[in-house]
Amino acid sequence: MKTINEAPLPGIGRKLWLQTKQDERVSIIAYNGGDYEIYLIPKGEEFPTAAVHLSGDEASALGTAFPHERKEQTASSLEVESVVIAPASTHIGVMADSLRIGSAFIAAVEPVAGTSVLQAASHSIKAGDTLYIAGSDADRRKLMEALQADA
Amino acid sequence: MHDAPDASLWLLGLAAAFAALAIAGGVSLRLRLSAAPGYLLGGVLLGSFFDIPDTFLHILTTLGAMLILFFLGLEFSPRSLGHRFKQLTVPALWDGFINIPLAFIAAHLMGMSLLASGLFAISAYATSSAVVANGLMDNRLLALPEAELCLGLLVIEDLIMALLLPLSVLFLSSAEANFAGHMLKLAMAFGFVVLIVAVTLFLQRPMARWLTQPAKDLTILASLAMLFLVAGVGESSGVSAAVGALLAGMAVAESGSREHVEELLLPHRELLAVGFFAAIGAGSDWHAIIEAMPVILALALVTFCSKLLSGYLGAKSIGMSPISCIRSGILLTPRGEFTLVVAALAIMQPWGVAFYNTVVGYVIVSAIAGTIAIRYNAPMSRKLSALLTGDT
Repeated sequence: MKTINEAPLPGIGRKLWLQTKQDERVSIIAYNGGDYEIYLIPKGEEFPTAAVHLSGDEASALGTAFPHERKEQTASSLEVESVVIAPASTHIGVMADSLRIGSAFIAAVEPVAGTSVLQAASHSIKAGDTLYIAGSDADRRKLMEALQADA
Repeated sequence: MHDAPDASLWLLGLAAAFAALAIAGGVSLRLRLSAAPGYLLGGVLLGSFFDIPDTFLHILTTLGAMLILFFLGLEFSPRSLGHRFKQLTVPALWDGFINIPLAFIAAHLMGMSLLASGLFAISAYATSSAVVANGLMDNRLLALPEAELCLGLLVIEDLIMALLLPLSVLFLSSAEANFAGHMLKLAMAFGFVVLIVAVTLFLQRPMARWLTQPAKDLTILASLAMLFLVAGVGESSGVSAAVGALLAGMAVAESGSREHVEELLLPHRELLAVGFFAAIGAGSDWHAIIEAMPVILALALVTFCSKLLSGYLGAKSIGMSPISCIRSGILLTPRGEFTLVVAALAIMQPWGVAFYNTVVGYVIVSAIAGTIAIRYNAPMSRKLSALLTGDT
């Protein structure tokens, strides 16, 4: 299987690139702010001949066009589960990252946006949000109990 | 409060300053240059028209430098440094061993004293991360293989500057202290760095909790409190507030809170970075800059060529193609924020004012020339490649 190379771009984001069978180079710049740029450098060329700028949503939509999604690799001791925040939850308005109990909070999905995955750490929790929690069994259970106590 | 100045006066003064800087930065961008030289020149103009108190300029310079370096620190954590150092050791060695001696010799030949030449060599060593990052993005050069090499090298340069800055402070204070005093200062500086690295490595969780407050404004306050604490202790231990801020940024990066702290403090950084360049410009004298222009141009030419050479050899050492090696050199030419931070250290020296004006002029020339070189990277690298291979 073809591997994608990756390099950090300090202060900007990261770069992923793939050398195709036709010896073309496809580079994706993932900006820290969530936007993307895709470049194509044809065989024998020094500079890109095509470039496209995509917002995070546009990049996600484009990603669904490919049959094989890139799977996230996690350590075997880590599992992910989700909880929906109830309207009366005492956690509404709290910043997601302040809830850490050893486990790592990874993402929130707003009910209105449906598919938009929000920044984890700075997200202010709202009723109806789905929070995805990753962590070891014990830590995850503690955090889930805390979140579900007032659900 | 009885002696407070008329509010309308300073409010109108600030309005004029913001408008002048917006126009200067806008013109700079319209000319497809980095905004930094525009802000510097805007500051020079403001300083020549208004009598701005030195204390105000000093505070603005310090705060701006702190926020700029804090954000640089956010880009790397102690754990990730080992890996990057391995990849970039040889390019970093070329970078240091070519640029520092050549800048020193050039400055000394231009009439600077040994101490001033040494300080200039340190100041001219660091490439401007801001100008290079903007140049790479604006000219769509991030896809090129040399982009990650240059940005990685800039991170190492920033770290080396974090070591060179306290040494500069120490050398500049040599007239006031004896050997024991020097050793004490050096021990305090070293102790401070060790303390911050230890806190960074062993107190990540409490730090992450401190930086994750239930509301955005509280997180901003908590982050600034941490930044000012580390910078303040850094200043008092002789490391300088700027290096303290850099270490604080590294500590935040290691705590895992980088993204949300970065997001919340970015607007503050943007404003204070403009303030930094403008205050540096306002503290200089444009008559002196114009008088020193031949020296400034000579220094800019030598240090431009030395970066071309070190970038070329550094890229070659990791197996890049000749044309990529030339492009790497070109990308590393502009100087900026760190050069000005070093210049500000010298201001209290007897030769400090002349040095300061020369370095401000040097950064204006270097940032403009570097931005143009990055923009015309393709034809320049082809011509240089043809010259090197004799293929005309």
